[in-house]
Amino acid sequence: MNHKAAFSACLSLCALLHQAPTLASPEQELGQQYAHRWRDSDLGYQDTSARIRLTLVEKEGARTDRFMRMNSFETASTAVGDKVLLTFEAPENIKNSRVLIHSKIKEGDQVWLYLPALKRVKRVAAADRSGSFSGSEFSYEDIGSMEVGNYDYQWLRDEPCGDAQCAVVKQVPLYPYSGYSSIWVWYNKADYRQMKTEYYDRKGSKFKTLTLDGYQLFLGRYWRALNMTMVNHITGRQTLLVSSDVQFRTGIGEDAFEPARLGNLTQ
Amino acid sequence: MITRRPGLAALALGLWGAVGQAQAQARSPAQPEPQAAEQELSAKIALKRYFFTSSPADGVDDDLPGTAQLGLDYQYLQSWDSLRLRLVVNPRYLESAKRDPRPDFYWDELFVLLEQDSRELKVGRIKEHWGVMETRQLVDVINTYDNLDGLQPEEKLSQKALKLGSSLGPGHLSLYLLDGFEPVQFYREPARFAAYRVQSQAEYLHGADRDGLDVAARYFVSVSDLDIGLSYFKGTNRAPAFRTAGDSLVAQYTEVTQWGLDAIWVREQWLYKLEALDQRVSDSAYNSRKLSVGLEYAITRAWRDADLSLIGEYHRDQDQRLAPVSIFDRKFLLGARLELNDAHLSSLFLGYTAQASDLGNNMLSASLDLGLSDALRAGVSAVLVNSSSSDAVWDVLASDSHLALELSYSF
Repeated sequence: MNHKAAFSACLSLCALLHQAPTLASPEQELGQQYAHRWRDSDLGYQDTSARIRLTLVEKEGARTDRFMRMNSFETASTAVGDKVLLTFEAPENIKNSRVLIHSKIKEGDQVWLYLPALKRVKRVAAADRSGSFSGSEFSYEDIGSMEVGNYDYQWLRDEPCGDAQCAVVKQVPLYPYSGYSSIWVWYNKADYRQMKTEYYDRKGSKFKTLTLDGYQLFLGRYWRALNMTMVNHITGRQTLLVSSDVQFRTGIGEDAFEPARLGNLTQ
Repeated sequence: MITRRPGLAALALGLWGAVGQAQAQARSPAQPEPQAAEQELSAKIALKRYFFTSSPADGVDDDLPGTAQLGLDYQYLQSWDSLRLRLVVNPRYLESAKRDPRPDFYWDELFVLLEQDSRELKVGRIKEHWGVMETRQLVDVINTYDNLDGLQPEEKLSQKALKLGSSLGPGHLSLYLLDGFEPVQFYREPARFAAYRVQSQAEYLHGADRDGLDVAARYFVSVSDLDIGLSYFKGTNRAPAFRTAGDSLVAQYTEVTQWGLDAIWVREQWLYKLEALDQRVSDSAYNSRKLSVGLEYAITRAWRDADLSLIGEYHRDQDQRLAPVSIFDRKFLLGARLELNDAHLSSLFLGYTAQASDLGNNMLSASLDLGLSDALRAGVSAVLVNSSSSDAVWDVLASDSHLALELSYSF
């Protein structure tokens, strides 16, 4: 075989290897199935709005409340993620501060802040998305929508979760600058609701645990957890999110989720 | 500049009426029911006091007493189907020295905003912020800054304006009609932060007019990790030039045509930013070109829960002989901002600003915004200016090193 032929054969082999689909293990396929079923159960919600009380709980028990309104918008294409808009309503020192998140697939979310004291819209650096959201135990990464295409999946085990049976799925972020090495999600096997999430930091240590309860069914199809508790295992601090006045299909337009209109504050 | 001008409110109503009429024809006969209106009223009291480290320069009034400010923020929100209305009424009362040229009462903002689908209309006294830099915002041309309070004031004067906005292609287009403007105010006698005497009567040259109509436009688009704003302005320059008249200065305003560009690109831990401005006057001796570039490096949880941003900025100006004096040319900033992420969102900023050609001319600044409760905040800022005596501006600033304390209560 001359050099040219050998080179050509090598190229062909490389191309073949490159095109060959990676064989997923049964655990990976099962993990992915749970995530897809969870996503499918929420398709078609269009948009939601809710009022949220965010309570910061210090290790010693001291509490601080913030109140905000949360709007989310389901984009028409599954190739891009949903959009989330948070507007603080109280206390006075952060009133009208806003956070806008455009979730992306494998790219890392786009995040903008509106600072009412300066009346400026500020873009958040990619690595800052793993930073604290308003001093809470949630990061911007946690607040944005969890897009199915953003993770590698592996089913770990089945186990009871309260009265239900859950599948525990390990999800490894595929987007850049995640604050986590992996996220373990407990999916309710009956209806695919997420019941609990554990976050592991970049070193692999258990960092935070999110517990979801107080689920309510809306429009006969869409589950929403009205109570969420995020516990930081390193600092001992907690953040509680309690939702109320949850509405679906409010008619809010995608235009309300433009960074150029963050300062208008009409939504 | 346009010299014939109908009232902005009448113009706004006419424009919106035309839009509404067209949409009413397209809608079904059933009229939308108005949703319950929302009203909000809040207030803030702020007290500020300066302490200087040295006596003022010769002939400069040492009196820069504390200020006390009461602000009310009222807003009214009403929705009809997809049409939303927001009325904002934010009056301010300022108590300060008698020689302070600022009025006791002024409007921080006073406007009506109408939004429908991708369109918006805003009319009244507004503030617009486009810039992306920390040290200065080159492209912010709608509002005037007053240089009466501190070395780098962030408070703008509101501008009477009509703004029309709409989605256009992948971005958002905003058009502005600006009714006159608020000239920069000066102390009658040399004072701290302003060690020069400026005559009360300004000059308007080369088409400038204090009461004329100016126009501006901005197109903003966000593409993946890049945000870009392109702006245009034609009208009376918000930053005056000066000419010497005896022992005082006369502020000169010219009509300018200017293009501005602002951009942010985020990549990994980095945030890159840029502002550029090209300003032309019919007399080219007033022309000006300015460029600011900067970057920020984000370190999350740098210390406990605190997030750290390291900031660098550099400014380069090419001003013609008579253009407004720039105090930023060849200056750079190295800074760090620590967001403590505590219960009341306190933050700390440390900055080092210097003249690139002579590092002996520099300024160290530190500011702490400390949340004491949900309603009470304390601000402490310190500025230390050093001069190598090679630059007259730095020499004057050097005597204005100070400590400022501010306490504010919101309710």
